[in-house]
Amino acid sequence: MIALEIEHLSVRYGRTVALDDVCLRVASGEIVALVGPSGSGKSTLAAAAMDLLPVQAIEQGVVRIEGTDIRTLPEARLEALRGGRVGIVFQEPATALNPALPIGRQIGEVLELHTALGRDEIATEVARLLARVGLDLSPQRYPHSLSGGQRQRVAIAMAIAAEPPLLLADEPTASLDPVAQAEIGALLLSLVRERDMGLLLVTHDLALARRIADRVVALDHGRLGDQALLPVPAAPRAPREGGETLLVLDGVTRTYPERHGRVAALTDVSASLARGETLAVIGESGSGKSTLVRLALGLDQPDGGRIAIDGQEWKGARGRDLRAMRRRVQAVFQDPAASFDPRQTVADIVAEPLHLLGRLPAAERIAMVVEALAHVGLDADAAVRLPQAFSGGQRQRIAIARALILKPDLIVFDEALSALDPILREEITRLLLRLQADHDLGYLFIAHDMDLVRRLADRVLVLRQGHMVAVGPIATVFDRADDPYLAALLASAD
Amino acid sequence: MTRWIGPILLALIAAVALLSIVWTPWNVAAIDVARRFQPGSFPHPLGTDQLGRDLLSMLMAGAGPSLGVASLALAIGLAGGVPLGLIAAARSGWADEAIARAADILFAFPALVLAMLVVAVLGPAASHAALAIGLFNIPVFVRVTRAAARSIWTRDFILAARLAGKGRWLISLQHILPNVTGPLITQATLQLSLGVLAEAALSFLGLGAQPPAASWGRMVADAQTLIGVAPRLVLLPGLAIVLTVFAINLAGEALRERLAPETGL
Repeated sequence: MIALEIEHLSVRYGRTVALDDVCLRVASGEIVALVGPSGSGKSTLAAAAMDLLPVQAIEQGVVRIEGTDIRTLPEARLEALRGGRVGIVFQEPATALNPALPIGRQIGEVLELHTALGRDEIATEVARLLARVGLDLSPQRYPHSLSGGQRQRVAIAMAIAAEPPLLLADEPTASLDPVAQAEIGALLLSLVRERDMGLLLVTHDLALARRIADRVVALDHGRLGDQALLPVPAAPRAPREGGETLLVLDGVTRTYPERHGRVAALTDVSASLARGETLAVIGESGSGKSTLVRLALGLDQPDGGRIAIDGQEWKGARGRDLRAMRRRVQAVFQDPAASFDPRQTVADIVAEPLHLLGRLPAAERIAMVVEALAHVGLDADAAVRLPQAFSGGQRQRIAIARALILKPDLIVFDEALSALDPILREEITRLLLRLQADHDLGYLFIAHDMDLVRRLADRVLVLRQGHMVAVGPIATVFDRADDPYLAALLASAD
Repeated sequence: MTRWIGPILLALIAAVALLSIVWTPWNVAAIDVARRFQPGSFPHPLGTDQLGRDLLSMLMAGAGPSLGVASLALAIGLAGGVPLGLIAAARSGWADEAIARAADILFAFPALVLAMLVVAVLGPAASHAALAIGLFNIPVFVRVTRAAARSIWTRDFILAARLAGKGRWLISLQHILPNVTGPLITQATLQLSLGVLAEAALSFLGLGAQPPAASWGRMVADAQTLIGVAPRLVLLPGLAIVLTVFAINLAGEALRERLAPETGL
């Protein structure tokens, strides 16, 4: 049985071609992963499969679900189809669930709409579905009391409630931490096999696609491409000798006041980073990575232990000493949209750290901005534009230029590549490796993506709930697959 | 096209207010009891009031105190509220608590009643009315500035500014203030129209601009017993107040659309 069949589908928005003559089949029990960079037409394809395209879209071609051409169906039948014959799982479970209704009600609603079950049978079925997606929770719970992974399980329970022959999942793991990502991937795989559903998995997570999909289809500028377009997982980098020690964390503890006593965000963490070396920090959400970033940047001080840059502690540094330390450490943040003041031009943004140098002649400032932009492969004329005019990858280049302008010794990357699609991520990764080699930079690299960690890092620090699980050269740590936490983190990548 | 109605109307009212400072068709202070209750005709297009003053001149002269008091009150509110809001957002802890709670306390009083008290103590005058209304604009701007600024403080670009060695105050000036102007302008137009209404209410009670200066609120008050004899003496100044508030709100709407077209707020 063919769950989904798309033949010669083309979609245009005005003059923009979103999909160009796309043919795609998803058989029952098969997982087809649809990958591609942002703006490649993935979401348009998913919307077309449910006949949910915006009215401005001009559509040509045939979409069949279980052999029925959905474009010939009247609206009433289409409504029965969505949620009934086609289950949908969205990227952001926080917004896909209704915050005002208990989860049991929301799953029950799907059953009410799409099956002939009575009230008691629905209650039984809801309990069975919750158990099936691995949730040992009362159906009376509200979405806000669940974690991201649990919410996504609820969303999956809703999607499969009416036993649809086809499931559409649009970036179902993108907003989850690595452990939850691995679990949701495994859950989808087992459901597809058990229920003989077809699954069209829209994602830009190649690792996930490779792990659970039977076939991977790449979409680029609205055309189906071949897999050769996709970046190949790169070989881990060769171990290198680090230079002099740059950053030292020694028994670092940071606690925050809470309603009852204090809660520890980091407990007794020790690590070091040498010039020219990359230390990756990995761990699930809430493991203390963000606290570590703030401490390493000197934006926050530890309660215990010491943090030093080149032997000099952040704690107690004042005035000229503090400014001298700040000049050596810069950062690149996760979300390129939030890391720039929307009212400043690229020149103002990139020049911001120059504040640490005091007053400079305008000509000198401009020369330094242009040089920093050149290092990241941007033209000088980018300087006069606003950051909103740039794409995600270019914005991250601007952020890197800002971090580079003072020629620091250490750059902290806080999930800096997570928001990028695989092709851009590959580009920026190459840029980072080149810059590191050229300028002998130390990188403190916070990441979710294990492929990236293998590619970039020399050593790795694994955190769990604020405690160190492991620290050491990447090969040594990643070989310890006997540790279940580490195994789960690593499984999210391959 | 409709988006221009508000700004154009407001500009006209402001132009009339400015014109009335140097010229009105008749002297509004000149009482001529012999010519009272004249209907609209050639020398007096809108007729005369119970004391024989030209109604058109009175309406023109009334625009000045109305917009003037509201603008001055707005300026007081902005000058007091924005810095306090920025300080509260920049400093967590006692300073923030003190400013926020003080604003809450000022909010808890019915503004107009307290404004009456302030004017009663200082003595009735247009400038005192502006001071009283402005005082109650301050907590409004403290709140708006503080709330908007706090959300900006959590953004990554503030971390980047701190890494550049910038202190709280410099960040407040260079990054926070430019990014809170949107909500501030929105709130400012609201407070301006509320100011026009408050000025009308105070001068209706005799606490605003004093005779012989003209004022819409007092025109309504003086003529209220004559509504059966000459309804235009009450209706026209009332209409002028409504039209001004309407113009400010439309202009504010247009401004908001320009500043944040996607939010539709």
